[in-house]
Amino acid sequence: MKGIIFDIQHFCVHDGPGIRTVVFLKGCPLRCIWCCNPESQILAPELMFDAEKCIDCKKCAVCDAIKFESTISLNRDLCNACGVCDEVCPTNALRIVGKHVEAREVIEEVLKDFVFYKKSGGVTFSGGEPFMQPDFLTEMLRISKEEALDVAIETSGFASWEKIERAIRYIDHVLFDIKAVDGEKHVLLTGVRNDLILENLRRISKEREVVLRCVIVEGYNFESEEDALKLADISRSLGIERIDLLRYHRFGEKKYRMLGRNYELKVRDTGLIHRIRDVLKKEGLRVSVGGLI
Amino acid sequence: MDRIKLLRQRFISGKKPRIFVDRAKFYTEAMKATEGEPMILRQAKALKHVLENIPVVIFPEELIVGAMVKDPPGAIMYPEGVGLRVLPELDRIGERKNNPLEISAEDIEIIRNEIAPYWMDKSLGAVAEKIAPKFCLDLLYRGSFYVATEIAGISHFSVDYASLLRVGLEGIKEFARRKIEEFENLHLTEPEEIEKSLFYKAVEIVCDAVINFARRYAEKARELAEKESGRRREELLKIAEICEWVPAKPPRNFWEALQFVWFMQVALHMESYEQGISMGRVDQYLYPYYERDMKSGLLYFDEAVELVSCLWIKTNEIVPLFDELLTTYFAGMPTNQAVTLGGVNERGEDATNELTFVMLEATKRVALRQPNVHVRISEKSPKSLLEKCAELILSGVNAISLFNDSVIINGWLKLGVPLSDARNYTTVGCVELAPGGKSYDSTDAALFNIAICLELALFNGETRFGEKLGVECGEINSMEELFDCFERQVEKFVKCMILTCNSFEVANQIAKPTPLISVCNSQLEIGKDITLGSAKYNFSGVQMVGLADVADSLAAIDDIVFKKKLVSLQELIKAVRDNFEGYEELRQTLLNKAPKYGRDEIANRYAKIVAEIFAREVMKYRNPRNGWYLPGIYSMSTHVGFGMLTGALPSGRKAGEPLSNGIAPHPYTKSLTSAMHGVTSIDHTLFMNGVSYIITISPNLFRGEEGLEKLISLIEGYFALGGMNCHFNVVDVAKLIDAQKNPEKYRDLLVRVAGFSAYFVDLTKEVQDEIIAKMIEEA
Ligand code: SF4
Ligand code: SF4
Repeated sequence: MKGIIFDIQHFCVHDGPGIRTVVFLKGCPLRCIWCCNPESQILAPELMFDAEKCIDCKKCAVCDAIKFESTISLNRDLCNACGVCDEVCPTNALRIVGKHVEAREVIEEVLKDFVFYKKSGGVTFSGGEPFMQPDFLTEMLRISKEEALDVAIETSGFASWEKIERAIRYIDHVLFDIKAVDGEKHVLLTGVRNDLILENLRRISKEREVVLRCVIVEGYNFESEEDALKLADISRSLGIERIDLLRYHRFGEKKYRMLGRNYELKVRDTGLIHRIRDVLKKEGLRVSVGGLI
Repeated sequence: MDRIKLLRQRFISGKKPRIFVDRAKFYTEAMKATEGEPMILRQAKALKHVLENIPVVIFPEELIVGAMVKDPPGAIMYPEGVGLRVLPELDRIGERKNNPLEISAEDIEIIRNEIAPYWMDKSLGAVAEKIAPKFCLDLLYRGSFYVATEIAGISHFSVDYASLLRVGLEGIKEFARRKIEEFENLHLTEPEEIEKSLFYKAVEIVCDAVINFARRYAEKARELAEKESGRRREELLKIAEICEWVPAKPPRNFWEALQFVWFMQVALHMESYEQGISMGRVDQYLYPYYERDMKSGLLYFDEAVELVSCLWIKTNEIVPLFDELLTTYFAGMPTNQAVTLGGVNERGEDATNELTFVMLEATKRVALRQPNVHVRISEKSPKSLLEKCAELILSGVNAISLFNDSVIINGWLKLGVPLSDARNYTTVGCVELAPGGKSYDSTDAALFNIAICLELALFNGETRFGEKLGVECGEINSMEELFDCFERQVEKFVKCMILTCNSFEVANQIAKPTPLISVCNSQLEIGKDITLGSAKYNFSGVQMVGLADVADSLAAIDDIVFKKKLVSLQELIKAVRDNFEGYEELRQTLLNKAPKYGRDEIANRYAKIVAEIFAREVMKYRNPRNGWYLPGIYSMSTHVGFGMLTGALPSGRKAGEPLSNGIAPHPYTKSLTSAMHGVTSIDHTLFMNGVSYIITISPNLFRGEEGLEKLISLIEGYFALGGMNCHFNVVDVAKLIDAQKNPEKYRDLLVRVAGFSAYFVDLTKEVQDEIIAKMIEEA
């Protein structure tokens, strides 16, 4: 069974307990305006171009999509992500992101670090949204369990319950992203409503221990301490104890450029994340702030 | 102020270390006065003269006394070794860029007039030049093939304190006296006995010398006590009593045992030069004293920590006296006095004890760069040991290294070392190893640039400047032929390095016998100086440098030239010769499209093969102490020095860039675990002189209790894979800022960025700034 992933990262220490390997599945139904992994969104391989790396050697002049005038220019409409230019580009300025792989192949790569998972680590499936490739995901989950791996998943929760239900028995830890607590804002900022998400969160939290993860994009998804109280309400009502707050950052900006897209979000930072942390702590939740460093 | 804070102040004030000529002056005086006598007696008398005359200083609040130099930090001069190399630099040594040193005009005069002229034709170097093959010396002086250190003396051993403490120097003296009397009373008629009795006479002299040196301190302490009152007066009187007793007699308590050790350390440093004179398994041989005092209520945990801290601080008193060139090869002013903690005992049981933790606590409190604290981790170590180590590592105490007992013990067994000595191994210097008990292993005899062997293989035995130094092998048309040619270069240059080392050892036998080291580590009943092979173990250690560069280069040639056929070997050789001028595209291909050690299986395989070639070549040879050569993989900072003199390589590395550090891969992979797989694809038990693997991390990767657990998993994973040693370099904000200015120094600095770990220097300036800003904010 094949699926599409855009990265496998070994030695991750902030994506579930212990030392973990994170498998990033490509494709996401949400379009969060602050997304820092734009290459994770589309469910197909894409071409990325890093102008800073290009040395203008013209080796990639193998295709109609690539033209050289004063410098290199890409016509993405003509690109089918065939990967030929990636192969010849000596600097990796041109790279295909996303590749089709066998589920077992992925887990074999994950298993290379088995010796480091001894105490508490394992594999984390992230994305994109892993449930966007439900069959592929479930197959990887099944093999992971066959191999006695500890399994975590990071999800936005935007998927039909049926897809989640058949996967959940293979999953040990759920890292559940909360994009916004307010329904209207959710639509505005991510492109989808959050009823299904909250419903799924309710159902998942009955079956597994859940850690909530929130990127705080000040002035967008979180505007004040009020929002923190709403978040605390949700957590408490579901018996969730732990929330990881993640700092917003702009490291994704360059990647938008590399994909030929624009990124215009301007975010101010008055330290709201710390105020939210304090509120949540007062509400009796276990909170950590991380995500940048 | 807290005693420890006060004592360590001297070493963190940023004060420039000063060169002190006392030792050189008295040593030279004595050597001049004894011309014509047997060398071993001259050395003994010289040490005695030095210890009788160097200034005796007790600093305020010290509990452990014995000053290496009168106003630390400072450098001791060893004119018989490489100490006089600084001669031409002396006038401006305070202004040099790296590791500047102070010296007074008066001392410069003493050196120029009284010291230097005498040694011109008598130093170890001068003697060695008359012995070593010229070709080998020429290679040495090029600085690009190998560095051989024994021209400075031998040192680099772990003192057998367990035996010394049992008998005290009087005990040894008595043994020597008996032997001398037997000889004088005509009971010994074999011709060998003449030389033996000479040796015992030297032993007697140096034992007396150290005992009297300690008594000078007793006097000094009493003198100071007169001027003090209250607590400090009591302390000084106590110190006087201790110095009266040790190291003459076996210590009666913990404090005395520590003082015993330190007097020996000082005296050994006055005899032989200041590299790697290590203290061995301190938490083992000192434990009986600690335990007795604790049981009888004479000592409390905090006092023990304080006493140990006092000893630890003393190890920071000296820095080496290197000239500018040597500073490139051995940067950071290391003296590498190691202490070994933890591990298993001779019976294979866990040897960790309360004193282990006392010493780790002291390490945390002292937090200076010396001593090198080496913690042995075995499968039987209590969880608390690794936890404490992890805690220290994360708190930024970068002087801690971890050693993997199972790999190391196994390695000794393969060499035929008996199980009990294998289990009782100690560490030496920065990462080296020695079997337990009486061993003299010259663990840092030489460092070898393996990358230049590849350079010569590519150029058919010539250097890139066209000099025929290597072995000619004709045109190369396949990987096999390339390998064959590379091996022949390695064979030749390892041989040259060994001949150089052996010549230097013979020079030491002739010009620098070391009776005090012999007292410590030789088998006394043999009655020979330790440079002649009277220790139980007599290995010599030589290290490989540039492993990753060679592995990456071979993998690149295999892949890009022979498999993908993107370029011909001749073309690649031309590009390398031209330092990739006009070949940037090819260079990028080599950097970005070829397999890399630490990331790709095939390059890992090449690293393994290269390592095995080096090990095999080194292990062919014996040294003049009738011991075998052992290979190691570490570089101090020679990877920078060698790198400066090594041309471009097929890995894509340009001429002059640093080579890889120790066994670590170049940071092409973003995953530490993948690097660890690469590193352990090499069999570490082949490298029993020691392997260095330095991992640079930012503390925020491992926050809180969970972070501690993760670090432990990482270490345990590495050890389970067969890693011999690891050393964590934890960086803070200041280092990050420095990394921005000097990215080449921090190529492997890991920081956490948005859910993943990145190499700091790979990040754009803006992102770096942001991380630094956030780190400051967090703190
Ligand atoms: S990926 Fe293929 S189609 Fe796209 S630009 Fe490169 S060569 Fe052309
Ligand atoms: S091959 Fe790569 S480096 Fe060369 S011009 Fe094309 S994008 Fe630039």
